[in-house]
Amino acid sequence: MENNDIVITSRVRLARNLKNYKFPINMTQEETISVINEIEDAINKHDKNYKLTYMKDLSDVQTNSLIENHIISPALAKKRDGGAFLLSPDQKVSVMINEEDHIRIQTLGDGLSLKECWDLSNNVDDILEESIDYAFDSELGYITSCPTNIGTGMRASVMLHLPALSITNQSDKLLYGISQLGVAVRGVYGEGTKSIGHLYQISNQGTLGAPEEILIDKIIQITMQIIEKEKSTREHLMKNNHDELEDDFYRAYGLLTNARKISADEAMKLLSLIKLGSEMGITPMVKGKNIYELMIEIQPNNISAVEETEISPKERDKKRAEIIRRELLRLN
Amino acid sequence: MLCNECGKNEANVHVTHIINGKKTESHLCEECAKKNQAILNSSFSMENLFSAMLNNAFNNKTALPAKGCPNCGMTYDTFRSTGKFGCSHCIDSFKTRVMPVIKSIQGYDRHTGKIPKRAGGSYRVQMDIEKMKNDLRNAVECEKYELAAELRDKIHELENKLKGDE
Repeated sequence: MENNDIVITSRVRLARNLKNYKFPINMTQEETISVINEIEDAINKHDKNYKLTYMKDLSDVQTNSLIENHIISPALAKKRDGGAFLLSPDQKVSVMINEEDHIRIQTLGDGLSLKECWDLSNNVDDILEESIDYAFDSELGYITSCPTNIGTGMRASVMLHLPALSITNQSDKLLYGISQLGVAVRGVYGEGTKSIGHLYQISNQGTLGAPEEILIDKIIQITMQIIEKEKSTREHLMKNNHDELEDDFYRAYGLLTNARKISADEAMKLLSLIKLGSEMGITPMVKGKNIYELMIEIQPNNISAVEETEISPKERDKKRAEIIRRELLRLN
Repeated sequence: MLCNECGKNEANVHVTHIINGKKTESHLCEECAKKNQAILNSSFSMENLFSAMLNNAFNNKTALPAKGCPNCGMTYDTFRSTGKFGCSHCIDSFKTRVMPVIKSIQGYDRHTGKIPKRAGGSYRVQMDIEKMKNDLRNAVECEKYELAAELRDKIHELENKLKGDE
């Protein structure tokens, strides 16, 4: 079992604003355009491969699919009028423009790679600052639209898959415990803190008073603790509940490879189980990493995006079952 | 039956609450029910918490600029209800009201992280000098005199540069 089975992705986001413009909540249409132009120029000076997309040019399905792929935030999706984003060719860096702040630099990485993400974000930030005048205060740091981001403007987060802790009902207690350490916890899909597919996101709560490296180190330390707990729970399950688990995993696999229509909720629960099964070596026919990609692929808007049109929930459930059957047989 | 909230539309959503054993019923129209649902579902986020804390800071009667933020015109009331600044000057305009809340939520009131090269200006140099002075103390304690001499020269160089800039 690899740590990367448990920590699926890492993400670092930096909030920045231009000194000489009002903040997005207060901007005119002309101002949003000139902010977009300034940021595009600043990036282009160093790297011409970033692609600029205006939110107004995207359909609802395309927009929501970008959210499901974690390339843009739900808040940017609401900025139909003045919003835009620059995306690097490998899709690891996304610079969102005129979201809540003028600039949100977001970098994504596989596994526990917060330090690499920070280096990358930091680098893009330096490039932007060469041509852009940032709103910065020597006492309060980077001035953001919302005071809860002020200071470093940084949110560092990891996405965790915690099936063993979840099925043994330990996740709530553990996650409540870590939320006492100044860390925010939420479910990745689903509303509020409820998690579908046993996927959780943890991130730093405070943004002021500590350097970026320290904030990141804290998330890494906490994540390592959670990894250990998830691993020891898996070992405990392996020793004491092997037969029940084996039955659960094969039933999940049986359903997924035979269902003719399936909701996102049910699919996420079952995929989470067979991901766990493969990582524990009980269901060797599937590979965990591919299962996570499948989890993203079967989100409602991603299915519609492939069809290039909005399809009815009933059609979507059929399509979803078809994709899962095809992919699981292919991965076999 | 008419909606309990608006009293205009026909009530077609019936909700029963049992709180501490006490049962209450409400009959709402679809529109009002949606509004109530939105309140129930709104997530408990830092942003919401911030707005709520600003609203609760009744004791803070410090003066506010009469016409809102001189730079962008945003009033304190608008800021309080949205929880979002209108421009980079708002924080100075509303400082006496906002800083206590920032401090209680963030736990700190001073940035110690990254300083941008240009916007940071001489402040960045000052921080570099502070850091080098700290390194110098450590170097002397560990009897690394060569490193200490190097740091001392760099500190002099930066201090002279700062004086030159002024």
